[in-house]
Amino acid sequence: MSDLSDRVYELVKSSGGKMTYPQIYEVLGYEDRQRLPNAIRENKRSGKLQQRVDFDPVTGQNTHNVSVVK
Amino acid sequence: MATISLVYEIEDDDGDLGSTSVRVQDGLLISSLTGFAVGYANALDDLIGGVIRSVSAFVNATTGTLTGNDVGLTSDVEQVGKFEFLSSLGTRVKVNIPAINEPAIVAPGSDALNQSNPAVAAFIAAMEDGINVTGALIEPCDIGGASIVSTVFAREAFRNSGARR
Repeated sequence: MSDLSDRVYELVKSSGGKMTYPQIYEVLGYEDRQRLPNAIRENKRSGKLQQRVDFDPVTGQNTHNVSVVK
Repeated sequence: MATISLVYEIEDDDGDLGSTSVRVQDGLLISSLTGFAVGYANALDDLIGGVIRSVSAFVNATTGTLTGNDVGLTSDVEQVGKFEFLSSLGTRVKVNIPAINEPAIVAPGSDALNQSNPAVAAFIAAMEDGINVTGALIEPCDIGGASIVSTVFAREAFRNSGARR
């Protein structure tokens, strides 16, 4: 696990276990943003985070969520 | 496993048409399928400069309620977002999306799409992890019905649509 992977995991965990991708993106600096997909993939592979695109039929909008699994 | 294909027709600024499709596993409620159709359209819409004109499968889903589904002034269906994914069985799944919004999502000095861009990341998440529609997780799959699990590449390409005016 890279430092950024651990940082992203701790960020999501400390935010109540769930954040949207744009929220995480906004927190990071330019270079870390470019590495964010890989950081999420590393956490997915280790079973620590999952990501879901949630569609709300009422609003018709998608939300790209990242949440803690364990 | 039976699958259902959803075909999205996209029109660019010149009125040229292109299409892209996604395949999902069968056995869904119609409401879940139409919900997925709109959710996937949302994910596409953030990637493209063109306008989604129709979504077709065994059932039709409306594009009238899509928000922000407007045609960009310089959109072009010959400018394609070319994605390749791998299923859990290792089968390659190719997805070509016409009228990709190049200024927004192509990495500078490269033909690679910027996978960290929120629109691209959300689209890839929808392909790899599915779209959650009122509690039902609907996942894109390969021709045999195996779920897509990873991304091989995402880049821009140019393809003659045969419809230039």
